[in-house]
Amino acid sequence: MNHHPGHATPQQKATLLTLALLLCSTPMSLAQSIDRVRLLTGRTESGTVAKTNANWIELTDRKDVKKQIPTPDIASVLLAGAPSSMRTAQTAINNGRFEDARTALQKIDASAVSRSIILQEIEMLGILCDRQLARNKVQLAAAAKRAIAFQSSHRTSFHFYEVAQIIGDLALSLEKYDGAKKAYAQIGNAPWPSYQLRSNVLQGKALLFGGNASEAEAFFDKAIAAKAEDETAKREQLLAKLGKAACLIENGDADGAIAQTEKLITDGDAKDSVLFARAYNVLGAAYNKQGDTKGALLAYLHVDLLFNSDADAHAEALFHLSTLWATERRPDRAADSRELLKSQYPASRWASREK
Amino acid sequence: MKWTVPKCIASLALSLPLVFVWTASAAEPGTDFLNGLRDRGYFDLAIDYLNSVQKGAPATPAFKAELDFHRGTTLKQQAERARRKTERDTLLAEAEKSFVRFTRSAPTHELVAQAQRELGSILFTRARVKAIDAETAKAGSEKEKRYIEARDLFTQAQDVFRSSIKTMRTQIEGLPKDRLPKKATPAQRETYARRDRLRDEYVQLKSFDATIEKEIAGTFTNDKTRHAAFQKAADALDKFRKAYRTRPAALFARLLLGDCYREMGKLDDAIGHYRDLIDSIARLPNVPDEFRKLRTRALANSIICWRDESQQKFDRAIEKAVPWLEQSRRSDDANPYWLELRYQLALAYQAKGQAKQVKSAERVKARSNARRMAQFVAEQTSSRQEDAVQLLSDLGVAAKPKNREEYVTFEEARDAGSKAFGLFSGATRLNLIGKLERRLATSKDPALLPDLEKRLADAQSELATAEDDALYYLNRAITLADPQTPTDDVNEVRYLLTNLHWQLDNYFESAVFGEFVGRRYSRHEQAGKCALIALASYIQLYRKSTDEDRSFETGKIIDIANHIVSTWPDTPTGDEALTHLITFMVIEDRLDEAKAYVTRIPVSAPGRAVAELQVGQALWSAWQSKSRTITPKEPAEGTDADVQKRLAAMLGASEEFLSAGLRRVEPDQIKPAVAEAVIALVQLHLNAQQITDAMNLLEDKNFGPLGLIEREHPAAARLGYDLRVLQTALRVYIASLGSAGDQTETMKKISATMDLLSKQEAGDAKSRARMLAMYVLLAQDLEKKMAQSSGSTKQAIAQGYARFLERVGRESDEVGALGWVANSLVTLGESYLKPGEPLSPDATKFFEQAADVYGRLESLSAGDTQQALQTRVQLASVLRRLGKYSESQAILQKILEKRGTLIHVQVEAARTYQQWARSGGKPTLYLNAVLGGRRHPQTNKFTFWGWKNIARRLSQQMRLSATKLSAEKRAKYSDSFFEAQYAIGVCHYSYALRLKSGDPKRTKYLQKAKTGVQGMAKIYPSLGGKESPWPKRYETLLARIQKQLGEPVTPIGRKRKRS
Repeated sequence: MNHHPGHATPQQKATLLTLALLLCSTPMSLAQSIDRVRLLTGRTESGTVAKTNANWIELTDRKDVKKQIPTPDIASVLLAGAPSSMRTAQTAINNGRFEDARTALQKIDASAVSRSIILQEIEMLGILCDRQLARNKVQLAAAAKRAIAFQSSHRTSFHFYEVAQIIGDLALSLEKYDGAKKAYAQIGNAPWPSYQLRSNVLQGKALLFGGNASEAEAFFDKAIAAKAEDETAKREQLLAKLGKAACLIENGDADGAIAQTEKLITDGDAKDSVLFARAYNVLGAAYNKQGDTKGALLAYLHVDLLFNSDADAHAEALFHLSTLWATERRPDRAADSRELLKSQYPASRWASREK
Repeated sequence: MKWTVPKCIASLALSLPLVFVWTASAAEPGTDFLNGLRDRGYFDLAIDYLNSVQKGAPATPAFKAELDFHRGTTLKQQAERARRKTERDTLLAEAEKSFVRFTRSAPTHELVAQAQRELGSILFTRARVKAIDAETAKAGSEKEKRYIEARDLFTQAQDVFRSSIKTMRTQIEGLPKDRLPKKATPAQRETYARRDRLRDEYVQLKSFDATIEKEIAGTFTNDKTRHAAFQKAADALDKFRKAYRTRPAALFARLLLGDCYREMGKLDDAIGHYRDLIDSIARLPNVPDEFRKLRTRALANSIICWRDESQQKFDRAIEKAVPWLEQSRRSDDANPYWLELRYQLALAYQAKGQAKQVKSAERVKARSNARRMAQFVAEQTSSRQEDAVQLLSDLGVAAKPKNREEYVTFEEARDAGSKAFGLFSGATRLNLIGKLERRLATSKDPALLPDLEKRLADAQSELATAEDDALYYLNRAITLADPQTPTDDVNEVRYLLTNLHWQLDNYFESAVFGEFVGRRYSRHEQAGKCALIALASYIQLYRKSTDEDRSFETGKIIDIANHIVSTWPDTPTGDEALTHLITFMVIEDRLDEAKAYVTRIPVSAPGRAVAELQVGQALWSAWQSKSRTITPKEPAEGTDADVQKRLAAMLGASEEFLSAGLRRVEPDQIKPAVAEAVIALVQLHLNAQQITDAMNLLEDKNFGPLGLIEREHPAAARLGYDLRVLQTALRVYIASLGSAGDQTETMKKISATMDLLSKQEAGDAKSRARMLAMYVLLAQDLEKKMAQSSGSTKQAIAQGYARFLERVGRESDEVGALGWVANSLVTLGESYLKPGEPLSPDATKFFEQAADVYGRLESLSAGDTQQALQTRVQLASVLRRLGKYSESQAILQKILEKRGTLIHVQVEAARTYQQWARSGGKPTLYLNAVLGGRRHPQTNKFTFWGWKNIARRLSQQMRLSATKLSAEKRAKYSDSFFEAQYAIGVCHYSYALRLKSGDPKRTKYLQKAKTGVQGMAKIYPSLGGKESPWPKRYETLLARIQKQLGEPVTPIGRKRKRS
């Protein structure tokens, strides 16, 4: 999945916050001796990061008491002894200035960093930059390669599932749908139902994009049928419903897709830009399938004008807009959409579909 | 200040300096989406969106309740961007309806006051437009009518604003009146903020109410009523000013108050209000830009008062304005209010410069300052620019042109480029150049030449400058355009560039600009024209290319043509592109591609039939053009077989496409293209000798072109269509003559068609010449047909033939055609001659017509040319046939007195005597025929030789030139010789018969005749040869003579046997 340059995904935000807190808020004394893990509940656990794996971070406090903090509970991690250039990189990424972030990261002398976990975090930041700055398939492939290398080298990193999703998103951009599904499937190995739910949604998405609507529908159904206990899981279920609606279009039931999506829009919270972007894209596809060009244009324009924070969804909307405007004999508007798509999302799979 | 209609909308904001800002909830996604669409100029889609929500698309209930309000706002914004007045008016009217609907359906909605204000502003705008219309109209009832309409709209706007004031007052009354508590809750803050906002808007509406009074006053033309209305407006404005003196709107009201007094002629009061306003603003610590503008306006209006004859306070004007202008900022230079102030100051300087009471030196200085100030205004694009140029002219100087680099905005460069383009492409200058060139070429007065040459050089130089300026400024405008420049304005410049480059033969550039606008901005009003110019440019590039590989040009031609046809289907633009494309393919001998192009269009598509008809027509035209290059009589074997094959294929394909296209057209879908195609198919049938098919199609009750003309069908309204149809019809009918069918009926049709043609024909000399040429060809066809016919058919054809001859003879001034007509009439007349019978009425008629034509021909054939001589001889011959012997001989005598040796004229003279004698003239005329007559006034010898002398001369001629003469000429002489000798015999014989039986001269002349005939037979036994008519004639004559002499008849050349 591509992301809008000016916005970070929730996972990115967690990573950034971890490092930002590490660099901005930690007194030097603390930074030199104590690692801190801030939880989603707002509480902070202190100690030394002794061990990590995909599912947790283990902290050892001053009394040598060990404590495991599950990955889904982690809001941020502050690591003692991180180099100062990381702060610049963090701030730049937070503000969507990935070029500046990359420059800052290049200034870091890795040989002066003694802790391997800090090196891992620097590498993770590099992956985020690579992914955002990729402008063509070659660069996308390089970013994917780096993410895969990270995952194989650091199988015990608590970023494991996050990196799995990045790999899946990059594979989708490269139109390698099997690879994407495989990467997304790794998330399903997590012991938490919300992660398994997300894995199903993402796998369904990979299958759907790959043209396998019937198999995709099965994954979406699985996600919808699952028990959603928290807000994150409920949101994943909404995404699954959208995926299912998209499958309905592929199966020839555009009316059904429109009804389901409109209900979701009416009931949903428009502040969830990503969800709404995807919803309007599904709506656009359904109208398009029905030959209702105006309806499709209006749907995709919602994404372009209001819900454009999700890069992949925005690129998708722009791609369809350029086609629909041409159908409506508005080549000026078609060209505007096309130019925006190519300038803002040059590496997107949608941009590569444009002639 | 002059106002133009587009500025009127801007004027609303200027005269009502209060900007409405609708502060809808930002959390409402429907509103945000709508704003996004409108910001991008997607008004069409914004309306579609509102319609879709109305039909059930997802939206919040609050948004659904405001649909009409949003529709009105959208339409109003769209109207503000509309370029055409009609479009703007329509949109504003729709917006008005939407706001009215909203206020009526939801009277308690919190947006009602806003809707009322929008409605009021629309009515106000429409009223201003109407008032400006009235200002520009000529004095009279129309002007008065427009003012009344404007007043009515102003009153309506005022009513709406008053209604909004009422609504708002109710809303304000329901809100707290005290100050915001120090420890206010967020909800309280919001309530108090809303109250303050409503109070501001309330004051604005009150200001509008008073302002409209002034506008209403301006619509009265009667002095007394107008004065009273301005007084009423002044009272309202003063009341408002006093009630809200702490509000900025009070300052604006003061300016208008001053204006009212100025209108009433109370200049001191007006100046007083302007001064107070200026002082009030001067006292403010920080003066916002809007107030600086207000002060500038007050100052400019003060100068108008000071310049008045009753005031004449020029120095006051100067001393107040100059220091203020010195404080102006660079950004003020192009501002219309500041330019107005400078212009008024220039007028004040000018007035001072003319005042007699002012010292001479000061007058000179004032005039200099006036020029300086006017020059400044003349250099800026504003509504005062032309006035400033005129003022400079009044001051005795020409406006100094601005340097090119000084055009720093898109608008400036566009206006300059547009003006230069107008000069370059305007017909006036080109006409002048053409006129001067023609005068130079034809002028016979050498004294005029230098002046003409200078004027021509000046005109050409101006044209070159205009071309250079147009190119420079239009290109500069493109580079100065930024993202905020309206796209339509930039495209207007691109269109001018497209056109300019096309006119300059810069085809690559015109193609690039034209294609860009045509493809990318196909909704722009000039997009179709741009695309067509691009297509034409690519065709030119193709033709001019010397490269073997012209695939680039070809590809572009096809691409852009396809784009035009698909973007503007069923429009003149689309049709024109299709025609260009198909014609291009046909001309380039790419018939298969042309055909393939047509077949690419789906059979069900409306354009398919049109395309087929057009390709069929193009093929037919191409066939006609190409077949002319091959001699029609030349056998196929003698020409390039491939060419013949291609021509045949072309013809076959043409018929195929035309027939297929016509089959697809329904009778109620006949358009000009269809009507043209039908003619082409009729002509094609005619060419292929498929006369019945041609006639059937011609007279088809649905598609038949004759019927279309008769029914005055719109498809037959194209200029020249009638003429082409009638010409074709005539050819078809003539072709049908002689074949099966009712010939008389066909002749009637021919006659009727010719009658119609004579009504239709007009046009220039060339058209008439073409028409006559066609008549000649048709007459020749008839002549052939007549020769091949007999009986009643021949009779019918002859009538038609005569009609054509008569027509051509009457209308043609062409010597060759007239000669042909006259000769043909003679031939026709001869066909009605029967030996031994008097001249029939038909023959007489044709000979008389022939005589008329020869007469006209003689008047056209000046001098003694061979043509003139021949005409006179022919005229004499026809007159002879008509029995007008004296007239005939008079003509012949004139010729022979000058050129007596012309044998053929002598022959004609002898014939005249002979025929005159035969038709009842004196018997001795026979002797004149033999011996000659009419003595030459100088030589006293016979001018007419007579047959005897003719025969002698011919005999001599034949002997002398025997070896030198051509066979043809020898045959001709020989024939004339035998004719002469025969005529001698006939004359002697006839003369004898006219004598009494006992008269001894009777036998003498019979003997003379016999001896002559027998002598000829003895000397020339063959008598001109078996092929000639003479042996038989001589023999018959001899037999008659012998019979009269009472002798047995003996065969000629044999001696009578002695008994």
